[in-house]
Amino acid sequence: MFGIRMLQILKIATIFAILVASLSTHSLEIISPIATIKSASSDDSPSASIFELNVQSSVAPTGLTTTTDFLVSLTLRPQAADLTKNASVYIIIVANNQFFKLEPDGSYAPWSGALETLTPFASDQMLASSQTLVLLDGTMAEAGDYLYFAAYSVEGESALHYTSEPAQISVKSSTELPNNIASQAANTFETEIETAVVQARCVACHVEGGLARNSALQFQRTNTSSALNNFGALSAYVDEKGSDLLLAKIAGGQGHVGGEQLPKDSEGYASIQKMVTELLMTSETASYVFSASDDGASARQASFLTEVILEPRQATLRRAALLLQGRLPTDAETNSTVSDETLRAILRGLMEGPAFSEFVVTGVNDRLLTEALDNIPITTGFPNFVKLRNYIFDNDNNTSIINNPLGNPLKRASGELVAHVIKNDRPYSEILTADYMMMNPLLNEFLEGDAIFAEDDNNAIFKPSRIEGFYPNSSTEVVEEDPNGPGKYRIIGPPLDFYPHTGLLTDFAFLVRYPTTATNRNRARARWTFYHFLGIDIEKSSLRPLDEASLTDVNNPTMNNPNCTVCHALLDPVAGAFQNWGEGNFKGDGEHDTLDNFYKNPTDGSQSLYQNGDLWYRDMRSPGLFGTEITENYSTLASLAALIVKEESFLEASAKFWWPAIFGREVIERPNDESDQSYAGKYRVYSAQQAAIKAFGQKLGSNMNAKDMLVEMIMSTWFGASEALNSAYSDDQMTANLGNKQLLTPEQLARKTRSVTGVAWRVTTHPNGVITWPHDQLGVLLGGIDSDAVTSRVTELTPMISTVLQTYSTETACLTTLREFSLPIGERKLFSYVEDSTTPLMTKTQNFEVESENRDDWEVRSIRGFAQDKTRFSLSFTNSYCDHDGQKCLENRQLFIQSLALKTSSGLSEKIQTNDPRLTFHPYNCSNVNGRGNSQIHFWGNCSVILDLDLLDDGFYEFSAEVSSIEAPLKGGRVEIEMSIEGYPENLSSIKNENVTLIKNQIVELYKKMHGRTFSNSDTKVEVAYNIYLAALQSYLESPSSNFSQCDNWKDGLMLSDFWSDEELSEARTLNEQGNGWDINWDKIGKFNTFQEDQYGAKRIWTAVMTYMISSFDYLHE
Amino acid sequence: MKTRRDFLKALPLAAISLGHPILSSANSFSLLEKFVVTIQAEGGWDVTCFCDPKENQKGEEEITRWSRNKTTQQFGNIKYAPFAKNEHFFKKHAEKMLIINGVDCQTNAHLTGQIVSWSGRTSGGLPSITALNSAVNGPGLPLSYISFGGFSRTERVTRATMLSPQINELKQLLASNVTGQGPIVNADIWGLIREINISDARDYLAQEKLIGGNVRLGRAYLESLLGTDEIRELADKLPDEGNGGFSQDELLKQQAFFAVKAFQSGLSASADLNVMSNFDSHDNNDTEQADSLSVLTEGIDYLWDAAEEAGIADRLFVVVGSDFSRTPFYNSAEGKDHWPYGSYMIMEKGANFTNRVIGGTDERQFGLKVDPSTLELSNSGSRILPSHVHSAMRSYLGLDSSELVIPFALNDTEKFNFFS
Repeated sequence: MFGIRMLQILKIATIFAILVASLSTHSLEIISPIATIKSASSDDSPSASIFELNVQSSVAPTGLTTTTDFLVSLTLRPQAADLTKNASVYIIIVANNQFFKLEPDGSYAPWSGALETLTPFASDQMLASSQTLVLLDGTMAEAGDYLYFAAYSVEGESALHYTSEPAQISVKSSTELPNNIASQAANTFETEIETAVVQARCVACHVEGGLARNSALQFQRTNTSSALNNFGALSAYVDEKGSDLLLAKIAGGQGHVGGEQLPKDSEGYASIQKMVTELLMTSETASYVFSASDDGASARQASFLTEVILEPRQATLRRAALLLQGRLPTDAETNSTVSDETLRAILRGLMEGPAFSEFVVTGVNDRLLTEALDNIPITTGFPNFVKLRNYIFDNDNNTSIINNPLGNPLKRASGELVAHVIKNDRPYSEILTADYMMMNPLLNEFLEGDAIFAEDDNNAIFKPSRIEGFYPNSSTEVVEEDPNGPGKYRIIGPPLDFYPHTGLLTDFAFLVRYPTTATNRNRARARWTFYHFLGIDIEKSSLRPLDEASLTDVNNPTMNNPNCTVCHALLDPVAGAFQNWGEGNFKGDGEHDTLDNFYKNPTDGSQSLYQNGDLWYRDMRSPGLFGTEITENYSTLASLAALIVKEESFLEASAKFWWPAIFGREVIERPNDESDQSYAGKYRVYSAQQAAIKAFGQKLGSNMNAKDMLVEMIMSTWFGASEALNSAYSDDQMTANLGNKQLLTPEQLARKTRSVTGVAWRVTTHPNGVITWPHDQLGVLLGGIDSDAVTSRVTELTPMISTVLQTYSTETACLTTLREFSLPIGERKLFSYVEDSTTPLMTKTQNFEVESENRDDWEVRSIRGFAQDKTRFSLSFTNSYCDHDGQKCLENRQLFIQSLALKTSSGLSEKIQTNDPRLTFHPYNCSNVNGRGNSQIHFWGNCSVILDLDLLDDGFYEFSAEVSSIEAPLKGGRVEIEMSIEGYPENLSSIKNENVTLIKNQIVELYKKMHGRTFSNSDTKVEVAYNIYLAALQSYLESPSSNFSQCDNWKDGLMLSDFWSDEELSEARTLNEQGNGWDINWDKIGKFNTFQEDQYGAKRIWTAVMTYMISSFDYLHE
Repeated sequence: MKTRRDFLKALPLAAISLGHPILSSANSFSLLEKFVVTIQAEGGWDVTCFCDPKENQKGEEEITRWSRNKTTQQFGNIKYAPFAKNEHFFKKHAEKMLIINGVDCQTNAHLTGQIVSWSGRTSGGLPSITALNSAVNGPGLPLSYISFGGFSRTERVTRATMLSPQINELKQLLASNVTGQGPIVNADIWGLIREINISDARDYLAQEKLIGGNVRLGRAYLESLLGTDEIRELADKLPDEGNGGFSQDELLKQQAFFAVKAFQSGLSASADLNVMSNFDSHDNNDTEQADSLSVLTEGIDYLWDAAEEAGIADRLFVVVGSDFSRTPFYNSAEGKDHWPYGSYMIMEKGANFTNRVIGGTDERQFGLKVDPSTLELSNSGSRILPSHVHSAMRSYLGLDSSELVIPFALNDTEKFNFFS
């Protein structure tokens, strides 16, 4: 059906056709041009056509109201080059913030905004110099602004000639009394039916999410346009189904599930009869309603969504990679992202592996909140899992030894199941229908699952598995009593043949998180089943008039009292489907029912309704869904799941389920009170979101592959809108929180930092291999949830979070530099441009091997570099060696320097003798300068000779030295030296040398990897970071230190294990006696402190820059 | 040679300014007349065991087990059930109490109950009373609105700071750039970085085409940065290690401790405390309620003691409530189910409206009507709704005339001036 909901007053298809200059029906009226627009071309070629939009009416275009009959026409005057060519004409109207395209039959259908889906209103039109086409003839049912766009394309040409600006028609609300019969019907509806009948009765069920949500008749709850839209809905129903059916149903006939709502002698019935009669007598005037919530809506219809610029594809790729994988995209992924289609393919590729599982597990827990449980979500006090029971017994009934090892994977199992389904391209419906659960090796062992694990599979690995070790009570007997517990059991009979796994519905943690009670009777489970998997919020699906009569009703009100049945008719059958799942295990003991004992055996002496063999309460509705009963008794949940996944709303609920995980914000709730000032805006956004959810759900429904849906979500405007084209829709965009930035959750931030910098901030490792991340304990402080008291994530920063993040950024920054500068440059994640010795001060440094064969075999080594002001020239012996026997060196390497020299680029030179008083040595007195005739410097240990000068002339200097060496032949290897020219200019910021370039390039790289932004190395942003660098350098020069002891390396819980071998680790820490912690070898761990060595201050200096990078908006938001 | 301060001056920062218009910092403290606290007993408390005591009636189903052998007690004008640790609590605090009984929460669904109890309307879309108070009376305070969970919807009039009750580690976590060996980054430079962050945020927000959602994030980033110094000052007042002498399960007391410190420091205007106990007693009602009510009363007691010690007790306005109440009879599992007629306990020291009970329920726990003008029970009066209570609180707290609050109208047709 068309998206435009025409009031079914007459068959519109017959009235509209292309009318060429045939406007006689309105000949007495005024024809007024409302816009004359010169065309533009979609391929930017010159375009000289003219589109003229006219309104023909008895009133001026500025005076149109909802009761004015008017005609809109387009006069097209094509450019000369297109005359006589065949063309297609396209018309778009923007109404209620949605696009509609004009169809050949004169009706309007929703349009997605995608050009490929645009279809012509008129085809095969031979273009004359002028032609006029009728676009609309009738009345606009709703007041508002309507924007018209027109276009045509010539056959065989790809360019589209279009109106670059819209023509606008404004229609005001009419203050006139209804002056025709159609209006009379509408008036009858509004005054007699909308409130008294529809809102009071019908809407309880005939509403989105209501019991009758599959009916052809759907109403809206009270809102600003509900009367109009509900009138339209009722009119359409009458037109399609006939008034007889309507009247029969409201009187309880024709199998109306809701029974009699209006007796035939009631006022309401009479009103509807009256309205129907008025409808049938309506005149042949078309009235247009462009509904914002009609079928066929898609994600890109609302104009606040279209008036935006999407981020570049690579930006989407980066954000998606961080979201789904917790890492940056690879170069290959980035380079392959050349079109939307290639991006889609790459996005699918991101939905695999353990990292993606983490994303899914977190996303599922955010909805189901199974992590909230304090204890193991499985009953260990009963013998049904015999192996587990006896293990507890054998360990002195100490359940704590198993609670976390077994409880944690059980809390994850729901997420692991969904991850398994998505990653393996299994039908998404399997999240509910799976006849297995996910187990890790430990679960598999204790539940006797049928999965097969390899010996080296750890407990982080989950596989599909079916319980084969569940024993009904009759299959076990006590073999050892225990006064402190249930005792030890042995198996005397077979386990259950078939454990009825049913996806998430039988997930242990889900069932325990939403427990049943004697009076709740699985209703909480049903409530959340509806909420998560059918998108129905039972609690909000109906008003709840709790009057005294209802509260005192003892005649089984949930079955009989309309005030109660509104919800319970929907809820209770689903609760019944959980009949085999009581508070504990399947059927409680595997073979009986889960019915409350007081129900079966009332203590007040009353007659029980219970009959032998019953599995469900006789004072509740039978198991089922939406009127379909479930008759199977064993796998009732499997039957329920099969019904749920057939529902279209399962698809939409699935899209809604994943909305917060992908977009980083909750779905907006439907506004309920039209008197709220922000109602209209919220409703627009709500409608657009619902349309998007529907579209994403349809994508999922196309082949039940969740990857398809998630890809489209990421490709959508909701994920990638980066800029507003104008300010026209800024309020709605604000309401919708539309944007391409999301505050990283604590989990996402930890993953990003680990991936980008390597740092595992404040992570602790347990000897059993469990790694605890800070968000496990500090999640709420960082904006996360605890799944219990705090169940919604913070999506915007607060001062408290920012304060914690300042600690985070500073500590992470220093840990990053410790890690990075401890690695060879080729193995680093970030610092690939600079060594720790790369500072602006070090204008030039170079390493040499001395190749002389003996002390007298002199050779010259030299370097050349820019120098100015205070400059240090130095030559260092860097690889001394001594094979010491306790008294002397059996062999050692030695370096001799005969002279030093400086030469400027202008040719001035100075030779510096070795006894020159300006020379100093580092460490102090490390050399022998009493060589032959005091003319040689002699180094036998690592030592530097330094010449500090205050240069008068800036420029390039050549620094050279005459050197020779004695090698250590048994050890091998030549003597190595390092020569450097290091400037200390008066003004650090004036330094311009290759190191400065390298440092700035490094900063560019940091921006790119950490913020996803690309700058030239002369950009202001780079200058900002470079000035932080210089300030930190200056600070270092004021108090130099070769050790960065302020950086607590233990705050990176994985630094040791990342850098040390298992063997080294095992020396550094051993399991304590209790087996629950480490004994530390402090001698060994002391070597860990070498990470803090900071010879050039690089770690300390770059920490300042990194602190800035990590605390920046662009790092904390992706 | 240049000093590092020269580099700071040389930085191309467009608009670094220590004075900023968005946050007024802790100076607002002196303007705050009242600190508003809600204590949310999530799950549905049984007020017949608390502030709306009910005794068994002959011929009727048993309504309370405690009344088998005890009778209703009273301190001042406040009647209470001799149940759990009520006696100590009511004896000590009755003078501060306004009890509003027989409030028709209009629902028996938990989430709707929380919405209506703390916002005043069942249909959602309204902020909590605490959010409104923060928005109007504590705008710009770094921790203007703190919440430990429960209903804390803001509808964007302010931002809620979500907290976890365990306050151990918090002090150390908030002490940024501090180690045993000295600051990680030179203090001047560290301050500089914060200023650059602020400057960046302003530049970001100045972009012409910035889209709505990104605007929100940018503003939040900027405003949150401006409040971090005060929070570090608050951290100095937190216990060094452990939980400050609290036992592991004294979660409500820890929340109260933090809230009082935040009020005392002038950083907060409102706080939502979450009892974090199981009031939803479908099974074993009396056991569950006794445990939970004990946690509740001990927590409230601690809150007042801490406020006294901090010198802010006379500025505290405390609202205690729940989703709704529990049925006036026991179910087959000794539990009680959901019941719409509940109560509010509003506490203030030295106020003229306290030591008073307004409204009530009959012996079967149905709400009684009250004359809005006299606040006396009257068959010709009206049932008290949460909206009435919220309207009165808004008025009493000086919120109702604020432009921030006007869009969130409660649309009451009757006004009950509970605070006269």
